[in-house]
Amino acid sequence: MAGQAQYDDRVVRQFALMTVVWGVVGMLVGVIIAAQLAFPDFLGGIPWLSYGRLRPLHTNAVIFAFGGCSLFATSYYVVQRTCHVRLFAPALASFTFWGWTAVIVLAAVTLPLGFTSGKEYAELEWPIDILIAIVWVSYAIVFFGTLATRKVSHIYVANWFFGAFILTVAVLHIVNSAAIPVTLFKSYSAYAGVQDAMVQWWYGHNAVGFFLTAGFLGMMYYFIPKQAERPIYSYRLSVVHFWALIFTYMWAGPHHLHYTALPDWAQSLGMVFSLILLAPSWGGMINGIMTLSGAWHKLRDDPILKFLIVSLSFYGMSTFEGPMMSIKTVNALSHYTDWTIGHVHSGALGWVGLVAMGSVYFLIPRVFGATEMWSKRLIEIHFWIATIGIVIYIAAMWIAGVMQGLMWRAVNDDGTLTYSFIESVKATYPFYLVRLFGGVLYLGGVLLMLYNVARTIMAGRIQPAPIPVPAHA
Amino acid sequence: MDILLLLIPLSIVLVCLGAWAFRWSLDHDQFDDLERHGRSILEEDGLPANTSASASASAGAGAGGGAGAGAGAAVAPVASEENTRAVVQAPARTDHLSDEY
Repeated sequence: MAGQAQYDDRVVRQFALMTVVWGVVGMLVGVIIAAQLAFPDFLGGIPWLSYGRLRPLHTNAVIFAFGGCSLFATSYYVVQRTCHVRLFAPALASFTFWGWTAVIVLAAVTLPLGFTSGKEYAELEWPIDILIAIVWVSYAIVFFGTLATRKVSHIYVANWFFGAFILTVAVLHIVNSAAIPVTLFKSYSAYAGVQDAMVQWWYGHNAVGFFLTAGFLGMMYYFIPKQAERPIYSYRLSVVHFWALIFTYMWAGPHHLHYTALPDWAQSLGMVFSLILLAPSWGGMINGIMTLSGAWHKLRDDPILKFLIVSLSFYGMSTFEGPMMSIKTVNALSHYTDWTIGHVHSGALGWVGLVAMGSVYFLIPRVFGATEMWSKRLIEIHFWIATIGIVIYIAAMWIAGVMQGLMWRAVNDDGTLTYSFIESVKATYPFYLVRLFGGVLYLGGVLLMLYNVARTIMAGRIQPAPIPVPAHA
Repeated sequence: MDILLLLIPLSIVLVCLGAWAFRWSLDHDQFDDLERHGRSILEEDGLPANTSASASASAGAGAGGGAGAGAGAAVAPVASEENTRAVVQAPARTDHLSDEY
């Protein structure tokens, strides 16, 4: 089959490698700010490295740099493999890599300098927001163009998840980032007061739902069957999962604004939609895990599968915990405490992190022309220290959060508060140390991954991957 | 809550888009044989050229690098050739088709 067409894997390689690099950077910044909570002055009080500036750098780096690059890499890989066609507009695909990298570098420069729009998970100032919008529209053109030129009539379910993620994030970003520029580095949101809060959390929670969930579910539905060498437990359920999720997700955002100036009915609406989400989430979780039904032994000696399956356990845990925390009476205790931080990290480290790392471990040898990762044993060690790190991290934050909530609401017989705020801060100190330890373990795992990936790439010889052609063509 | 004048119409537009996409997928036989579609990704050829050369050079003999010649195990490389638009109307069960080779 001379002259056979080949997949366009260059951009996949670029994004896959940068996933690991930005993972190290983002998680290192996470460890630094975790240390700052326990030791506020350990960086000597340099303004550029203060908590308030590094915290958005951490969230942007792990969500958009690490998570974003893994989504670009896997979606470009999966859409080509499942459609049996090269990427549509390869030059534009290449632009998405360099454009996205430019966004990340600009974020890494402007956030420590203190340039921020003040909107959580959307801190970048307006010129960078415009660049993000341009890159994202290019991404949509490449992805949907590839789908449109597919050589296979069926669109595999992973592509539906990736497609919904790309489309929704475009809408979320453009609506939430609407702002009136004042100078090159300063703008004001187009919305004010509680309206702004509502848009912000409409964006914020849907970013969780579509950036950190739908996109990574696309990954899950491709890489778990591939690594397990078994079809998904129920393809029918995966289709139901997709449509149920996208038709019910949009209105969970108000649960971030319980007991605020947001009208009470809007808060309750957010709570109800959050509770509804439990059903599709658990349907998908069970579907992924049950793929191993009858082949559980694969989990024993395949560390990549451990990453992928345990990520789903964390997905199940956090999609149970999330709806529970959205119940207003539970939220009265959990809101503003470190319980929320624990919840977010059980989803971020456990679900998003592990599924992305498992998928990258699958991808790297395939796109860099190696038969497998350089060291399977290092993947195994990475898995265990990451998992132990997550459990230590989230357990510390759960205990700290519930404790803070109980201390803040404790009232004496005469109606005065039992504890001052600083007493709850002092009581949290040991848990901040434990959390720091969990975070260091997780970062250690990513460093092992970087080393393993580097050795794999050095050992590999990049070979073009041919596109299968019809047998009788 | 003037903002709902933006967010609710936007949700309705997105839901309509979803409904249209769902309708499209019904009309374009996306759900005709879900069993087979679930298996389809295992049948493609995702390996680099050097390791999959035998599979693409000779579909029958390649058999996934000697994964086994039994009908069940041999489905993979054969079906990768079949799973394309040109032959997608063919009988769905690829394990029957593998007998022709």
